[in-house]
Amino acid sequence: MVRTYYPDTAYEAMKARSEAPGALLVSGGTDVMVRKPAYEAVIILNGAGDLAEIRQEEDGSLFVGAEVTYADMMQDHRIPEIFRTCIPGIASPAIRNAGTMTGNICNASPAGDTLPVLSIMDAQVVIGSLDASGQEVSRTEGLLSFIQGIRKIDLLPTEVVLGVRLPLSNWERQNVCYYQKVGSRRAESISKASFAASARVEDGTIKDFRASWGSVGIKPVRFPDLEKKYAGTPVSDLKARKEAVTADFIEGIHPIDDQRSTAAYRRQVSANLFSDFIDSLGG
Amino acid sequence: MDISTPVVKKDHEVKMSGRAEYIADHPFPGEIWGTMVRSTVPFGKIRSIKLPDLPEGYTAVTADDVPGENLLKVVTSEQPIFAGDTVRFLGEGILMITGPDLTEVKRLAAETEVTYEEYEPVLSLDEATDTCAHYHFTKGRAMDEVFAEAAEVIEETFTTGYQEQAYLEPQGAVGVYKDGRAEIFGSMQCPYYVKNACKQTMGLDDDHVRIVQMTTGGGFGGKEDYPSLIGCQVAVAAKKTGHPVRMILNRREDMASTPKRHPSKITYKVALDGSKHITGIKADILLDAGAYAGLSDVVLQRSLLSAIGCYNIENTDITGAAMLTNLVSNGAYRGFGAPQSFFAIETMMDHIAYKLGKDPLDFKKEYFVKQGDITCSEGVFHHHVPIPEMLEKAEELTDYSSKYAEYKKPQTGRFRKGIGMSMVFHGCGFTGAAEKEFIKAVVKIHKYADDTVEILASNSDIGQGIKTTFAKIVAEGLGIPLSDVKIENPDTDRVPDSGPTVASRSLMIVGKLLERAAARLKAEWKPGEEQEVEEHYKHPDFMLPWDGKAFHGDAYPTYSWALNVVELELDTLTGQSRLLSVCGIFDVGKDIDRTIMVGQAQGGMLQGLGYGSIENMETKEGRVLQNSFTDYMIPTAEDTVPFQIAFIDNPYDGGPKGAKGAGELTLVGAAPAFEAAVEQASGKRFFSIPLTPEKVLMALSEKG
Repeated sequence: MVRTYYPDTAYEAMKARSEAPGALLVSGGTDVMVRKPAYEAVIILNGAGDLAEIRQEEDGSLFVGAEVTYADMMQDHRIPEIFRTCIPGIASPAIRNAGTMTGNICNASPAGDTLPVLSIMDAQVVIGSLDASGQEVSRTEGLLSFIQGIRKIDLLPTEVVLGVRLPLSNWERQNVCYYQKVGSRRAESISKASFAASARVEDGTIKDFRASWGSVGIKPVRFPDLEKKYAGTPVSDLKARKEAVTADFIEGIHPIDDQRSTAAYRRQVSANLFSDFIDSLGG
Repeated sequence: MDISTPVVKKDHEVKMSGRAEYIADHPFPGEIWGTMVRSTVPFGKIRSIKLPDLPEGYTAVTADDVPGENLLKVVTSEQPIFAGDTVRFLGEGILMITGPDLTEVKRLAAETEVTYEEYEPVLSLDEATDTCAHYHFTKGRAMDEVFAEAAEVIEETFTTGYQEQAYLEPQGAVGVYKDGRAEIFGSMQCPYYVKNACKQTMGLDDDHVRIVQMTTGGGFGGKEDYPSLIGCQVAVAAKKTGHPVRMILNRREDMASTPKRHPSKITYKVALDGSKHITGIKADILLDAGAYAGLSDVVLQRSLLSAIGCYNIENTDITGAAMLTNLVSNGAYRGFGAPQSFFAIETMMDHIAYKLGKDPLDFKKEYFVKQGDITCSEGVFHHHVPIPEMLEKAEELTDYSSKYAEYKKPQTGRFRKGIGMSMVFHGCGFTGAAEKEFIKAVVKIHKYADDTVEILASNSDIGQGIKTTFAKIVAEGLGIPLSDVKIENPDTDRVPDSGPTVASRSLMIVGKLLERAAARLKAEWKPGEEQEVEEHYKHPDFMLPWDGKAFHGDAYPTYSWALNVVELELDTLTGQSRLLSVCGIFDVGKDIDRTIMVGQAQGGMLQGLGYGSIENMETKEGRVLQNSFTDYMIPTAEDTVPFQIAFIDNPYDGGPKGAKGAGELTLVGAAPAFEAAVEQASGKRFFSIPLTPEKVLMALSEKG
């Protein structure tokens, strides 16, 4: 018999995980339903009211709880604009009404639609558990280190992902944003490639510059060294050297052939979208 | 009232209320489950089969349990019901595990160990050398002469991929055996095909086999031949176990191991004279039949007869073969061999036009067939060909020519537009003399004492609305309310053999018999008395005799016609297209119900667009790679736009109220119109469908 927990709070969820270490955490459940994995214990998080909150933190970060659905995010004016481009391309209305961003992260699929966006935002995963005395302890982990591989995440059997922290104080100064998903069709489609980028352009110069590619590796691909290299470059200069700059980034992308697309296509689309992003920079 | 005026469908209430019983819904007392153990290699000799310990009540059903012939009757019989000593494709059924608990049955099937001596498999059309059908036929002069005299010869080769029917309800059947009688209940298009196959496999006569069609959740050709196989498998299992045996395929199993549209390779060689006029076309068509012949011969025939499209070409030379491979067997899918040829000929004609510096439509207009012209099998287009009216209607609805001219101007920027047009036909009914020589359809109308009537015919409603259109014809013929006409799912114990539900024949051929039966019953009508009338197929006397070996004569009594226009915007960064407008203009003689016919048009056109664009299925080492709806993409509502649909009335005397074949026609023209639009938007030439963004983007990234 499968033991099922329906915690009402984050605390109870963590308690359930310490009682049943390794129990399956269900946050939305839209992928679990398809994969039908076998577990002895399941913790259904959707009754945990305090995980369904979006809240502003003191340092200006926005915390998006593990039970906040995509549909909830679309309703909240504090959610950064780039999500309004990304979320409508995820699956279908029914999935967006149930699915969560935390679920998307923990699913750790190379094709996770929100992952490139979270990656350029430097999003952090907030993880909680109970210590021996039953006190709540928490830690945060950067997205790209939390995701360790395909369906592999850095989460101990007794831990629960409480939500995602978006460090907005830094993000809000980005004045150019770009996101595109490339799927086989316009809805209910797993991405073949996706791309998110942003930049802070001031006085015709790139001050900060971020780009991340999805579905071309086991997790979103970002090149911090290259981003630094081109920060400080005048936009006109970047545009003039567009082909070389694109080649510089794309060299590091090694997509594969699979049942959904080809490596050559993924590479070409990755390059084209990056190049289009450069074109979109003002100044 | 005009017969086209829509009515509430006969099966609307039962389906919309959720009360319709599909095979998965209907319980059979004492039933047990069956699951196939399938081949894991594409080609090999079975060395050994090691069964796990079978608990009590669990049974393995094998080739040794087949009471009659272990061969599936389709046109001929090649495929074993249960593989005996050899497997010829990955996914072929070897044996069935049956028992009361499905999870346990699946476990036992998974734990059955089969070892093989593997042979070198044929894993693509290009590697294939063995044919299961081939034809060669000509019209006019010897092609060598025509090519020798030609000022220019243009040769191009086209390829087309698989297409999965993607019916909502997977394949399923229940077999029952009692008192020496086999019964099969299931999701199917052709109860009498299943019956004939079951007789052969079970070694039983007509009186000892009964087939019942359950409400069927879509077929599109996919339930033409395969229900005979699954039906025979459950019938054998039912006899061995003494229980009703239920087998319903899961989606992955269904997609990986049941028949699909044939991949093809089509080469044209076209001769032009000094004034750039086509003098002859040589066509060579290869279809990938898969591991067993099945319906491939018949599919190939329709491919060949569509090879020259809607064009009147003086000299033609057509060869074709269905090639055997060690891949999943292919079979029927809406269009039945025609979509491959029409994609190829339409694209070929566009390409020649571009080479000659002409606009495709202007070029094609020089060759469009008209009434009285000779077909490629030297038959005759006996009836009016309404291409001029269809072109006029298309211009009115889509503004095709001015848009073509606009998009022809050089375009820059990320998004570029294109518009494409195709013209196709569908040869109505079975190819050749099959209606006369093999099918010999029979229908009955039974009148009850309360003056209501029941239609007795073997055609199944698979969503296409045949219950409603049959009933409308009979009600109109008898002058009684539609509610007084009853029609049930066919049960071979009750209905005569009016042939299969295929080839867009049901309404035209069987509907005509019902129209005649209704007229007779009306003349003989005795109020308050029970009466029955029976009608038999009559071959149209205007037809030229068909010689199936020489491939000569009238292959079809008449043709239905379709014009499709697709307008789209191409994203040059991703190779993806967004539809802007889609138009379909159809001559189906006379539509018997406008809502039903619009439904056919919408569904068929969208399937055709999927075929041309995103429905990609490939095999690797004999294994189907896209075997789920996650990886095999069919278009969603988000991928389409409201279609503009119009009908041109062109009644045919051989069909009821003038109706001609309609179901398949609607699919055929969308892919070539899509391809043409992508070609205009991209400025590139393509030779292959599905024309995926991968292919488009690779072409766009080539320099120059």
